[in-house]
Order: sequence, then structure tokens, then C-alpha cells
Amino acid sequence: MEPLAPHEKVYVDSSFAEDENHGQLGCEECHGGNPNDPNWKTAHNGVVRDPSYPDPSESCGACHDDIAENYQKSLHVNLSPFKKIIDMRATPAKVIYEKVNAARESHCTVCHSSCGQCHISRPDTAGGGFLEGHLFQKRPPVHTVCTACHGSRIEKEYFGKNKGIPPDIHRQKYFKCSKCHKADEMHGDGKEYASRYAVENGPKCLDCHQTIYDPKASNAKDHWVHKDEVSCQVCHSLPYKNCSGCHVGKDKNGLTFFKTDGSFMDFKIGLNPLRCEKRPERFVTLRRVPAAHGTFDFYTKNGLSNFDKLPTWKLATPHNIRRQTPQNRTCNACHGNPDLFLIEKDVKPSHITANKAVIVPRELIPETRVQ
Amino acid sequence: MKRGQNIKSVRRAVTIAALFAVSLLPLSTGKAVNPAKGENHCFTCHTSARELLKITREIAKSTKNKPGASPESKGEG
Repeated sequence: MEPLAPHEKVYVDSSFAEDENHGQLGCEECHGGNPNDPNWKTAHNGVVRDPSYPDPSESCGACHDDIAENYQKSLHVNLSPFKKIIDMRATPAKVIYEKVNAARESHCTVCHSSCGQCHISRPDTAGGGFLEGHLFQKRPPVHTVCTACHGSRIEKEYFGKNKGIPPDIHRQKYFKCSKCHKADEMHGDGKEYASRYAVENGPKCLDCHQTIYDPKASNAKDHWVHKDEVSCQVCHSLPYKNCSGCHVGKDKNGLTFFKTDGSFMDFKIGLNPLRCEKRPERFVTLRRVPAAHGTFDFYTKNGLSNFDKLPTWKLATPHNIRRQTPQNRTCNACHGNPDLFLIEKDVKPSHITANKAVIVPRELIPETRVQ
Repeated sequence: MKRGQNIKSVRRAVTIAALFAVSLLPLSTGKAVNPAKGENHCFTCHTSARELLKITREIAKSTKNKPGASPESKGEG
């Protein structure tokens, strides 16, 4: 993504005045400040850069009240799964917990979005700056909004930027993110969710691929045999990015930073940690997330004493879907092939207990099929 | 004779169209577009690349020694 020069970030397209809805409002109605003051320094007193965060009810919500009503429950805004996950792993002792929580606020929570940071400007964490001269974008653009944040994994998978891995087939059909991820999902539906995989109006492959179980469909038998046993990605995704060892801290100038031990490409099938009626599959693709015992060591030692309560290989839906993949070429490309499965040797020894529920025991790896 | 009548009717149509267009003028100029009003300094400045360049350079000079993001960040977020 091309960075914007400082003046480009705040340049307003004069045609904004012709926006029959937003152009009718005075700048100060949303942003504050004094439009009558010719001195830019004093005119900016009290200016609010993003009037839609943390509370959009007086700005966007004044008209879009139906959307603003659910705003605080949108995962893009509240990032509540971060808190839930860190809280589960955190040391309960109050003095330590508070330090972990402060670190989370300084590092993890900054990656939130807002109405403005999708429809008007690039997200702050991606450097900010107006998308199209402050012209409101009904559909946020992919490169400067969606993958500005979801860049390391989703963008590289979807656009085929990982060396040797082709782009997602949906990308080749020119699908934008919003083709599957509708506005209602992005805006939240007013319900509190534990993770993005629980969101009820999230996309499902079957929304479009309804005919895969039709007797006349070419692979109907394969789909029936594997139904509720493996997720779609187990057969149809390619190797994807995994990260490890995230540590956060502040440098000598007090600026926050993070460091990861590195990233690696891999493809691992594991046991479904979120098995439920909506996701009944026993096997799913798992991605290594960079959580580490010492992630918050800069702030407090032993901050995550309950680290083992959650796996560090998490349910993943890689965005590099292909009809044909190495593992679905033949039955035995997968059956009897332990390299595809997350087994004990794939997991860092100090993370074995944490991943007990997702590691595939040898006896559960499907046996080689006699042809 | 026929050609003369044609020219006449064309002229009449142009006159009617012009009168109609003139009658619409007050409507379009009366549209309230707040940011475009002369006294709105936010709009005047933020729509001028020259003005913004001048100010952002001024800001850059005054914040020259303030680091933006930590150079210690390493890895993929």
C-alpha cells in the first residue's frame, strides 16, 4: 500500500461539498474546531480527528442510528475476543492482572476500527489519511482499508503474495472482500460474540456452493463422505502463514513496539477447538498464533500463568482456496499422511499442554485407503 | 419558404430552452452547501494542496525531533 504524504492525508476533495447528505453539514458539526478562525493553529482547538470513535452516536449515528446501535458490539470496534483470550490466560492476582490489562490496552486494542476508519480514511494503525479526499466510501476499498490491517496473513494469501502459492480462486474471479463479508457482519448485529467464528451472519461457503451435495454434482460423493468430518479448508486451502513468539514493550522514547520470533509457511490439520452445532467438523485447519508465555514480560513477569488454558494453534480459515490442492488430489494424499496433521512433534515442547485439545493423536489420523 | 419556417421553429425552441434554464438558476444557487461557503476556513484550507503543503511542512519542522513509531518493532503484525 502506497503511503500518503502528510498533506495528502488531510486533503479534502472540493466535490465533497456536492455530497447531498454529508456535504450539507458544516465541518465543525462533526469535527468541532472553529471554521471562522483564519489561524489554523487556533482554529483546530478542540478538533476531533475521528468523530466516530469511540462513540458515533452524535456523528454518524445521528442519521445511521440503526447501524450505530450495534457499533459497540462490532468486533472491529471492540476487539472483545482479544480481551477474552488474554483474560483467560492472565494471572488472576490483581496487581499482575492490571499490568497485563494495561499492556493489552496499549498494544492490542489500538488495532480497532470505526465508521470513519473504514468509510472515510485509512485505519489509524495503517497510517491514516483520507481515502478519496474525505468522500464517503459506501464500500471500503480492499487495499487501503481491509488488507491495510489484515495484511500479513489474509492479503498475502488472497492475492497470492506468498512465494509459490497461487491466489485464492475467488480473487481470480475478482471477488472483493465485501462479496462474502457483508456490511451486516462488519457492523455487528448487536450480539456479543466470543470469536469471529461465532458471528451468526458471517460468510459460509455453502451460501454460494449449495449444490455440492446434489446427487448430480461431480464430487457429491466426496462431499458427503467428508460432511461434518472436515472443514472446507481442510481439502481446499493451501499452505498459509503462521507466526510465533510475540513480545511487546516500550522503547527508550516511550513508544510501543512488538517483536515476533518470526513467521513460517505451513498447513496443519488439527482437531476442531470450537466444535459446535454450527461448526461440527472434527478436523479443521489450524494456524499458529504468536502468543507466548512471555508476551507481556516487559510489563510484568509471569503475566500469563494460565497460558495453557488455550491452544496456540487456532482454528483458521485461510484465504487461499483452490478447487484442487495437493491434499485432495488423491485419497491417500491425505489419508495416512501424518505430515498434514498437527502432531506432537510439530508443537513447541513448552506449548504441548496448551495444545492438547487440538493435537491429532496418531490413531485419529485417517488410515491409508486401499485403492 | 419551408427552410425559413424550420429556422424559425429552431430559434423558438432554443429561446424556450434558454428561458427554462435561466428559470432553474435560482434553485441551483440557492442550494446550501455549508463547506463551500466563503467564510469556512476549514474547507478553504483543506481543499488547497498548496496551503496544506505549507502547513504540514511547518508542522514537520516543529516536530523534527519527535519520533513517530518505534524503530524497534520487528515482524509481521
